[in-house]
Amino acid sequence: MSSMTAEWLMREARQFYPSLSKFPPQKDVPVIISPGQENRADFKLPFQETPEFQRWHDAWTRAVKETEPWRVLLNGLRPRFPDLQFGSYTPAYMSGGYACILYLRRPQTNGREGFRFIRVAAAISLLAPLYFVYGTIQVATPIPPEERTPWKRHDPHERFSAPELFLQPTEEMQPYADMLARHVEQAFDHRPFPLELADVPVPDIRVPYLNGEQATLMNAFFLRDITGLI
Amino acid sequence: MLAVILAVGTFGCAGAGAGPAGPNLVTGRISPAHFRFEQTVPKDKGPSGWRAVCIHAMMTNGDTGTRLACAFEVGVPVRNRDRGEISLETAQLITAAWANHAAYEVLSHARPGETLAVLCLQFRQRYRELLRQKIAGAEVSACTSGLTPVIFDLSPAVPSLL
Repeated sequence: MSSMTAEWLMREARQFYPSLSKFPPQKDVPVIISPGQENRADFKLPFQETPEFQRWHDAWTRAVKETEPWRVLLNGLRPRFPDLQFGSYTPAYMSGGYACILYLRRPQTNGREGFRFIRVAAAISLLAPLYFVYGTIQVATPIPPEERTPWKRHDPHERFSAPELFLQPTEEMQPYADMLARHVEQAFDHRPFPLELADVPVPDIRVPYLNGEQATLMNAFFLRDITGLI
Repeated sequence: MLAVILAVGTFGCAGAGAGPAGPNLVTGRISPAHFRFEQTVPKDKGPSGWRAVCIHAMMTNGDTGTRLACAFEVGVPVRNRDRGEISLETAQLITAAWANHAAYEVLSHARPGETLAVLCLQFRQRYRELLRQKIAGAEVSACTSGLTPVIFDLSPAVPSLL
């Protein structure tokens, strides 16, 4: 692998994603289904006939079948943190990568009521040997008794904030982030993605799973929305 | 199987029902049974797994008679942190309800002259926003996985549903 520059990554991206100007989603050929043709499994949009799309699709098909790196990763991590839960977020064929997540629960800061739900995650690319670790925090605050809904089957006692993104793991995430990074490097043989390149737009690529948003190195090689983890 | 016709009329009819209604009359509802999810990634011990379905939902412009199937793929985790195990039934109920909500919102506000391809794109965007508030990690996009599409149609083929 040559040095990790935006230019190199953009060239790599063009291996997997065809031209956007040739295949804009606003102009996707309408699917016309006539009676009797309802079960056409072979239906493809024009951009899906390109060698780039085929390479991207093959990468996912391989990833879904080859679970060995995941097994190595989780088998390596679980004995280290026997009390913690791990998750694997694999939005198959709807992203450029996946994520391994470690879940922590910590009290609120400043003695406030409630707790913080912390996810420390490694985003792992399918398309290049790259990963990065980061974290999100959701704050859960108790719902005051007068606002609860005991007559409902589901009566939550806490309210969760939207997750907040920490591209740089916080101090309390750091030991977990370091351990996660080490194990991802071993299991997947990947290297750290330079985060300063995350928001670099990649012009003129049709990323199959984007609904018209601007393609970036982040959403083309990793996840569409790294904050929205499972 | 029932058919779904997401029909857009561009008349000045007031839309009925709850939600932010636009000026167009929108009829047709997708049902949970149409969301014939296939599990594409098995679940592991913690939050994990993936199930997805590709749907070609027929949209008809009531003014012009233009018809096109809006193809979209919905993916949901099999287990996430917020909900724990998400059963197939739960996934079907939630994805169908919010597909209807998003379709209603987008189609009732459609402006004359907007192409169905653009409306389909707007539908996928709005559906994704709404669905991710209900199921953390859910995704909506064009059909990309190669799953056999579930296809609804078609008004002429189902003359006597009522």
